[in-house]
Amino acid sequence: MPSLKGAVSGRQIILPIAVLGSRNPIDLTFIHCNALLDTGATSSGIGPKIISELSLRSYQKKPLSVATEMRMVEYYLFRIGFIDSDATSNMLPYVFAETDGFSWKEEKSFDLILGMDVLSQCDFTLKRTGNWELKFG
Amino acid sequence: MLIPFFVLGVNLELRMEDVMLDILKTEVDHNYDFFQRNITNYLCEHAGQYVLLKNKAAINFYDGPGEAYRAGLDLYSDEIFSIQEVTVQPVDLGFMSLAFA
Repeated sequence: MPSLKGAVSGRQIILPIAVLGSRNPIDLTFIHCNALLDTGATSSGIGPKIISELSLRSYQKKPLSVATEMRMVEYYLFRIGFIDSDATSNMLPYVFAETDGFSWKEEKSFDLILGMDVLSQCDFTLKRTGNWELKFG
Repeated sequence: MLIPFFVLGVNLELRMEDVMLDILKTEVDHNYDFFQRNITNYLCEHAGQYVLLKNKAAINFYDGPGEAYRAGLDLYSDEIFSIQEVTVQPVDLGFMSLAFA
C-alpha cells in the first residue's frame, strides 16, 4: 500500500501533498504544497496562496465553531493528492474525491489543513520516536 | 500607442473578474438565506447530501460536493450558483479555531 512518511517537526506534522482544482475531474494538473495534519479539524481547509494559484471561487459558505462564537466562512472546492514517499519523481498523485474546505485570509507556515474528512480515509500511525506514516489507496 | 490600449484591456479583464466575484458572492449569500429558512424540509430525505441552489431555489440534490458543483457548471454558463451541504452541524476547525476567534 502506498504511503507518506515523515517525522514530527516542532510538535506539528507538516506533510508535502498535491492540490488540484475540481472543475474537470480528469485534469490531473497539480501544485505542490505543505499541509498541516490536524485531527481536531472536522473539515480540511485551504489558504490564500493556493486559492490564488488555482484561481478558485467560493460557491458555498458554512457556519463554523470558533473558540468564542459562531462565524460564517467561505468554502472552496478542491482535490487533495498524495504522492508515495518511495515513488519516482514523475509519478502522478493518488487523488481523493473533491473536498470542500474552509478558507483563511492570512499567510501561514503551511498552505492547507488536512482535516478528519480526508484523514479518516487513510491509515495513520505516529510512533513515540516522532516518525509518522500515512497509508492511502 | 499600443501599450496604453493593452494595459486598459488587462484592467478591464481584471475588473470584470471582480464584478463576477461580487455577483457570485451575492448569489451565495441570498441562496444561503433561502437554504437556512428551508433546511428542516431537506433534512428528512437529504441529510448529508449537497443541494444545488440558484436564484433562491433548490434545483437538485447530489451525494457529493463535486457532483453538485459540476452540475451547476453544466446548467449555468454564467457560473452563478451555489451549493450547500444539508447539515445543521457547524464545522470545528481544530488548530484554526483560535486564529478565527
